[in-house]
Amino acid sequence: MDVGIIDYRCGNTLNLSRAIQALGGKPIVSASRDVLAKCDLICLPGMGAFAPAMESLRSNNLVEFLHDQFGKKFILAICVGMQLLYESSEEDGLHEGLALLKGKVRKIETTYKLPHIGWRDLQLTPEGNESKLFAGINPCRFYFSHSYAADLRYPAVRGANAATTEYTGYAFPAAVVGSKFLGTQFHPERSQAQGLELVKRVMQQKM
Amino acid sequence: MDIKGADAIKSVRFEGVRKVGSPEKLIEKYAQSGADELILIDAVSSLFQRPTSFDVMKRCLENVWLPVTLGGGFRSLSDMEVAFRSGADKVAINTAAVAHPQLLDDAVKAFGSQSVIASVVAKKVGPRTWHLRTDNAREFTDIDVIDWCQRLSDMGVGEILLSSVDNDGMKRGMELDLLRHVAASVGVPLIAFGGIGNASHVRDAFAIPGVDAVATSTALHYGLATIEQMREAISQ
Repeated sequence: MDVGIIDYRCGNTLNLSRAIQALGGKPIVSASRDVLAKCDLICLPGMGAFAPAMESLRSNNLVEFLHDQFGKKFILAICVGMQLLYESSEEDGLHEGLALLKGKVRKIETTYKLPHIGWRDLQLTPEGNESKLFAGINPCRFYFSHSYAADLRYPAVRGANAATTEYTGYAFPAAVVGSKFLGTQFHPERSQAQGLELVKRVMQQKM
Repeated sequence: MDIKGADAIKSVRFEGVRKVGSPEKLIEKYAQSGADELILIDAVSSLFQRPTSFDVMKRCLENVWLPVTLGGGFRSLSDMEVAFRSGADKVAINTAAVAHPQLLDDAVKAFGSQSVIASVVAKKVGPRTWHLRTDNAREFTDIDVIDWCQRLSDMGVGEILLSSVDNDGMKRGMELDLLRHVAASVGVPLIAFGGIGNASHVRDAFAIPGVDAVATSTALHYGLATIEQMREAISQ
């Protein structure tokens, strides 16, 4: 199975590539729409800042491509990749996102420290409990490393929050799912066996 | 875990290094026994100013599925890029940050704050005063650790890894006074290192507000406490 990993040229895609390889897939890191169009699954990896990642998508003509693929080919979007799915982000100014999902990305509200780094248990929503991706994953505990997150006050349209988690009392979506996509604010590729299991389930969902 | 060549090593007060096993085997063991993250430091790179032995690191990390920090001897952004291409999620920088503070700033801009850890090695020099050491604690500076940590925090590093020279490898508990002073003054996550000899030492460190994580090597290398026991101690 060919897994296209979008290369924003500002992030580290090695560990995601390794995870896909360990699960029997063939990772293809590319910013070319022709190359990505041939892949069975497309990943928006989770390293780097929002604005440069979005700029990279624009300069490679991938915004339109992703709109075209959304709902057709399965998309796995990790961390800042998940954030890109929404309408905008407040990271380093206000920036437009892909707007595949309704909602905004905001800085985590806390009087404690940022970035939020560490392992958190997810609270699955009814949609998360029903989804084949999360059902039975144990422990449902994943690694987070971020200062921004989607705003829980915007109800997901075209998808649903599968899980939430909180940092110092501030709750935010930890995962958003639709029939053909999964966005995770956490890093499944750095989350031990349960993280790999999630990526494996995504790879099985492809068609 | 400190690595020298093909061996995992451990010091006492950053001196008197002993071999403790194969890095590959120890990494596998700790990854499977519930560690949240791994921090691997090439103990000699900084001293000899040569790049970290990335090949050893890369091989060790092939089957690791948790966050990994690499440190030791970074001199430039391109050194750090090599670390990221070897499987690191984060880089830990000490010596180069002192010599060229701009490098930290550049690293934060290039890789994001979540990928950059400032390593701070502290030696007590007075009742409430600690001075920064560099080059794996061999070089003395007169930089005040509390001021330096505040500055690092303001510069936007993702985390601070704070090591105690006096307590390193001593197994008598962490340098709580140092942790208290630094924790009270930084706005980024603080990882405390140095001195854990049993699970209750972990609890003592976490009792200090602003200590977000602890790192341990001696206790694990010599089987003084398991990660599970440490977790239990914190949850009590």
